Amino acid sequence: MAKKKRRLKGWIIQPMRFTLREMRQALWKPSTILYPLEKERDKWEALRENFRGHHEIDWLKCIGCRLCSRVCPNQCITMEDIEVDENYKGPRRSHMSEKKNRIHRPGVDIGRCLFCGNCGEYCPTDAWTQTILVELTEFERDALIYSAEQVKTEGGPSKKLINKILENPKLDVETCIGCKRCFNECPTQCITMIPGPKMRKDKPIEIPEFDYSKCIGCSTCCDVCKPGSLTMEEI
Amino acid sequence: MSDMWINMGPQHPMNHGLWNLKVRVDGEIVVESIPVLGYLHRGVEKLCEKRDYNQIIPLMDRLCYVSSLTWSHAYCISVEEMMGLEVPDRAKYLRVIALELQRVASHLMWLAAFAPDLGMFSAYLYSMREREHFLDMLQWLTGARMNQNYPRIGGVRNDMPAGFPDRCFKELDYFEKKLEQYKQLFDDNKLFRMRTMGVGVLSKEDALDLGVTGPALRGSNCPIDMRTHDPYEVYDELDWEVQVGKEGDVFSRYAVRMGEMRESCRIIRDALKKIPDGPVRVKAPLRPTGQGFRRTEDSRGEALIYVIGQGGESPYRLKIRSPIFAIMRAVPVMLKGTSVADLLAIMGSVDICIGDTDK
Repeated sequence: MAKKKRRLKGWIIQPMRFTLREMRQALWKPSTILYPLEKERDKWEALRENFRGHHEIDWLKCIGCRLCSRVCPNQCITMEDIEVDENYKGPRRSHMSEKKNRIHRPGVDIGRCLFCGNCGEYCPTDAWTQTILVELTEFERDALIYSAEQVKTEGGPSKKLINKILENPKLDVETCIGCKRCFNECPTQCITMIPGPKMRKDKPIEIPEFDYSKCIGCSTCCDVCKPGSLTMEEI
Repeated sequence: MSDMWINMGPQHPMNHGLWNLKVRVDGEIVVESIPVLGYLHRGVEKLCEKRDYNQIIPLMDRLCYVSSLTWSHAYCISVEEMMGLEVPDRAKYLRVIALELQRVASHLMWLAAFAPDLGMFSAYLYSMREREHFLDMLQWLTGARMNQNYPRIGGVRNDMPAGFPDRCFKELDYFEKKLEQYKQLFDDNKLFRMRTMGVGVLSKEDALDLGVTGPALRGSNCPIDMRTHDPYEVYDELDWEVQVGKEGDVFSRYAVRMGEMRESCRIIRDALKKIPDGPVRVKAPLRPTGQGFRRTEDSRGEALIYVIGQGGESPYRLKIRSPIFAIMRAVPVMLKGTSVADLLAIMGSVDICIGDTDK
């Protein structure tokens, strides 16, 4: 008799309990949501730490160093040349942008972005943040290309510069022609021109001297150097 | 009766991915089968020669969309071997936690693909519901749900958020309770057992000869797991057991994967308890020289990445050894003599991912 009872429980009641539990969930407490109509905003907010969604660039922190476009695996970041008036309060940093009232700020092509987060990780001023916004679909491809103005925010000025690439430029004095291009383009103004050992028309050629405490390793100086006398070396 | 060739693919409900299985049938019996790959070739190995070492990590995530973290980790650990870099202890534990979360998510994705092949659609819904919890955990820890880009050369991207262990323990409690229910649902199901037991038998000798690795090899009664066979990270310090199946059929491969999910939960618990304090990332050289070669246990088998660096910003050569590419060679052995209806169960039990097979 006892054996029979166990069989009844084992074959009918046990599976029915499982079915009923799932049925109760299906009828009164569904696992799914009607997605476009209702969204789990609370869950997104709770898990937002480290999340990588749509891009936001703080223009008061960004110094236009082009590091983000250099570390991007898909080259989806383009630096835009933007004209500002003389009273612009954000950082211009490089001598050339102060002279010409022009600043460099990044724009993003979301259609090519793979949301790896390298841009924010290597940003020396923490200007680059990624929000929890993920619904970025558009009907046209051109609408996915965000200009610098479209991803602009204005937070506060950055505290300090951190060299996250861990590289510094080194100068080959023999080939330097003293053209001052690195001095003009350096986004952190870490270069001062000093008289070098070589002479031209009885005057010493001016060579750059680097303040490595301010250098962020962006290699802008190496890129603009025409004779190729600057190379990046690991710290 | 004359023989007939059937093309199972490239677009077919059976193959989860883009590949083709040519089958020669005699009536209902499979006589011969030829897997045809190459529909998804993207040239990842060549792409890696144009990117620097840090830019390759997100690319390695795209090798397998189901278990992307294991691939980027396999790349990072090979490059660290090349550089001779020692990773901080906390980073090792964080990697193990992330890898095991990814392994459970990957095995649940396998269950969601395998069970509907056998006509159990509700299992698809259950396992996708449970996978959501693990993806949430991965999202909180790494910052993305699918392509995490979490391991770095010399550590991990970020430390774990505050309150992560407590939430993780809660989710694991929930999942382990559910996993027992699923074992009831499948193991006590006579129809499921009839369709899987004694079907697609791969003997231990054949499996070893053909280079089969992962759950398919352990299902054939061969306890080789790269986590204990060639230990990496901190797997040898944690408390867990290798899962082994006896028969080598579809059911034992299923049982190995279900057991691995349970063991992964054990590993995560143990790692969260033992995790030490300290830094999570060390500085890595940017232009290394040498060669690195490291085997890791992917969710599907042995993942191997071989890197040669010659002092440049990008590697000179990078070779990917995909587990499913080797298992594809064993598919004709498994399929020979079975009926066409069993073909679905056998191919489902292999857990095919074409992303890393075609590279």
